Amino acid sequence: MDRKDEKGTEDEIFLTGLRQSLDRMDHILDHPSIPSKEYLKGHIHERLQRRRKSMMLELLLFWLVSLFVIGSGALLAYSAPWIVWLIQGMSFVAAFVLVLHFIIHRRREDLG
Amino acid sequence: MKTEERNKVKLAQQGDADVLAELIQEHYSFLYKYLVKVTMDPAMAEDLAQDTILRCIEKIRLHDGSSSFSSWLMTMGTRIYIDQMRRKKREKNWLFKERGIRRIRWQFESRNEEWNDVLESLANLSSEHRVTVLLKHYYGYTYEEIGEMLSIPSGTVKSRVATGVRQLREEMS
Repeated sequence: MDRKDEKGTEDEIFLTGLRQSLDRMDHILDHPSIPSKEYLKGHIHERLQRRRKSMMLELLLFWLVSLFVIGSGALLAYSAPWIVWLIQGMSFVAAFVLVLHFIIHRRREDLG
Repeated sequence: MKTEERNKVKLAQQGDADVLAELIQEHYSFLYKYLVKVTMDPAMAEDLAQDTILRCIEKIRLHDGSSSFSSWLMTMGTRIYIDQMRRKKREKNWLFKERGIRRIRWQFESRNEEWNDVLESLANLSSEHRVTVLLKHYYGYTYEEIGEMLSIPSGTVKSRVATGVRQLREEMS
């Protein structure tokens, strides 16, 4: 048997001892007080309710913030002078033309 | 994962509190025993088991069924333990460590059982080495599985296991 094999066997003997000691520890240590099913069920219900409440609160906050953003946008849009509308319209047309241009360009490249 | 267990997990994920309570109750003792070996402190293991159960209730929908329910609980328990160790740097405080080992030794002595050197050396290992040695050589997980459980590369697991076993043997000799 070479040294490597010998070391492997020694390790295995040691690890078997370790496993046996841990098994013994499992038997010796006091068993935990396992929570009753009723207690766990109560706890699960409470947690789920709390989670549902927090989700509702998050949804409400989301809607409130959304309303605020939409309201602010609308207020800004209706009180804006005609030049803002002109810039918005021109940007939209420019963006549309650019997107169209890139799509056509890519299709041509794919065909070529 | 067994079919029966998979069905139970599915029902629990759909919001069946009865089944989830049953699952937790069935696995509680196993989880606690695992955490005692990891922490070498029964009181800390009990606290961790309760924290793990709370997290299990919150995250049951995220369990994808790729591992057994017990492995999933072990993963969560280990991660909570590692997080606590990092946050509180408890391990540096030898008092905590000593107190935990003393509790286990007291239970051994009260049952006229001998506290052996192997357990003493295991208790003296650092938590990261102890966890990997236990998962590999006591619970029989592969290096890859342990890596996934601890979110570390399998190479790191391999080196931690080797170092852990070497340190244990050195302390014994």
